[in-house]
Amino acid sequence: MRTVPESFDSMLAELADAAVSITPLPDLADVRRRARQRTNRRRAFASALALILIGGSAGTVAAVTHKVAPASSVGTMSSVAASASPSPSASPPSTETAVAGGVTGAASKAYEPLVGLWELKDGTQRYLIVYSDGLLGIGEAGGWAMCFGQVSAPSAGTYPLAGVACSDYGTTGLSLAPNADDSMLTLSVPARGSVAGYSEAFVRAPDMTAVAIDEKNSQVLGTWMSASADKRMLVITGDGMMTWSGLDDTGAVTGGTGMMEGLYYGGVRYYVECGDKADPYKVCGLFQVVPVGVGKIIVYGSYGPETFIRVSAAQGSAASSSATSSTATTSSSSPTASASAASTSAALFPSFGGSMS
Amino acid sequence: MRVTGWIVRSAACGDLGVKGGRVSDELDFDEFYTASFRRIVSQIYAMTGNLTEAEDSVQEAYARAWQRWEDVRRYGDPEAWIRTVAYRLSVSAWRKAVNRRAAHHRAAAAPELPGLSPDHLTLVSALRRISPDQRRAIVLYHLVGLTIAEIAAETGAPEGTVKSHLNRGRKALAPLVSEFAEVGAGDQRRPRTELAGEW
Repeated sequence: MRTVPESFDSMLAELADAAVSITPLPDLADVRRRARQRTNRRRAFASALALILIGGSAGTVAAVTHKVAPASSVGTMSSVAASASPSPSASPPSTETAVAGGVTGAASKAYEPLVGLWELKDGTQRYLIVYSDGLLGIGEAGGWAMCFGQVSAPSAGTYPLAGVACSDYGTTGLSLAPNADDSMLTLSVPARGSVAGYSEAFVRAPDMTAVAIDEKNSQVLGTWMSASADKRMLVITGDGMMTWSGLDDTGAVTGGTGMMEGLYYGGVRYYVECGDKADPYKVCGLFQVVPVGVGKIIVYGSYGPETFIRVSAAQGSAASSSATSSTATTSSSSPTASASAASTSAALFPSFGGSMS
Repeated sequence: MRVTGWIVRSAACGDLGVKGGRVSDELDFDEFYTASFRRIVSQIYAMTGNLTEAEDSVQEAYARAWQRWEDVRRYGDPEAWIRTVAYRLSVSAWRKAVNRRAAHHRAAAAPELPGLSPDHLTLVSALRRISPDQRRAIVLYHLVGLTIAEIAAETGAPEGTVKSHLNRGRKALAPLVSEFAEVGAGDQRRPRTELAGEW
């Protein structure tokens, strides 16, 4: 086997020098243009969010004609800022290894028994989702976005959770344990203060079929509304950003922004961002958005899988600002994936845990 | 070996007023950009093994830095900020997905770093065999010249974890990098004697 005979430092430096020598220095104007585009996008999103928030406070959404699941949404909304912020160590995985699984299909075997969508066995509306890269989303009361954590390597059949950012469950000492046939998952929550430790049993949630996504992710782009009384709404744009909003239990509108992060489970995983100067990429939670038909997506958040219908931007604004709005129709401009794009996409998007695609 | 090549000027641009401060900011940023862009690209390339993506992610990182230059320029080491942001961007799943799709539509991929020597190719191959965390630590230590503490600060990992990444990375590289052969054979001593006290 060939070995590198020289000083490793020197070899590495020479390699870097070789890269430097063939790397052009882009025009600074291009960098500033790129920065301006980012600024404009953020402003546009801020405007969109403000529109949603202002409109949302004016009345009740009665515009969306149907909702598939869940039947009721008794949870409450809370602002991102009010959620428990993850510590730096709670940041989502940023290594190639961690993220590659869901994108390429090379799912880590380590998490295989846990991968999939789970719901509380006792029928309480609480969901848990484990991705092939070990990232975990757990629904929690008081927030639409799922809080997240990272599954660690198993020890004696138990998978400790790290980087958990859940106000409901605390942040440390949690673990998951699958049963013998991986049909049930036990979440162990340690004692916190005066609250004794306890466990929750999750069973696998029903499968669903996602439609293939084309190369521009057309199937998830647009303004989306649910039939929820809490006026949940999403605006997803082609640059990967998402604005979400809804009512909390006091009737106040809350919301935030998110960024498309990866392609999993036949859909898209969004990180809910709450970055600051110290950590511009701080993440507070996640959504899983799965296209299930023309103009229809399922959004996995703390309220479980919930169907959203695409509306035009004007419809979304009008519906959220008018208590008397009646039936809304799905946008006639719904993009339709071409067959070729869909087939390409199907090859690129692996199924999530094998049971749902 | 550490080369930062750019020193943050802490002159109070605010004294010049908004317009003057902006001009000063631009000059500062221009200087910083020109001095450091290619160096950071080479470092990200060594960490990720993809030069095209390294260029793109570093450019994006500079765009983000420009948006908040008033803040970034005051950081102790803005180059480290750029490097950290660029690295995170380069390993972003979303960007990888987008780039993978783009690759499907390219007729042929352009060869990277034409004219590399066999030793270089062996080194690139070896680096690709270790984990991203190990590779990042190895590059920050051996190429960028950071200390263990500085790597820990930049990556957000405890110093013990950084040492572990370095040790394991070297062991993994040992069959391909003769300098690390002793490490791979069980000798835990680091080869760079000048920094031995940090281990």
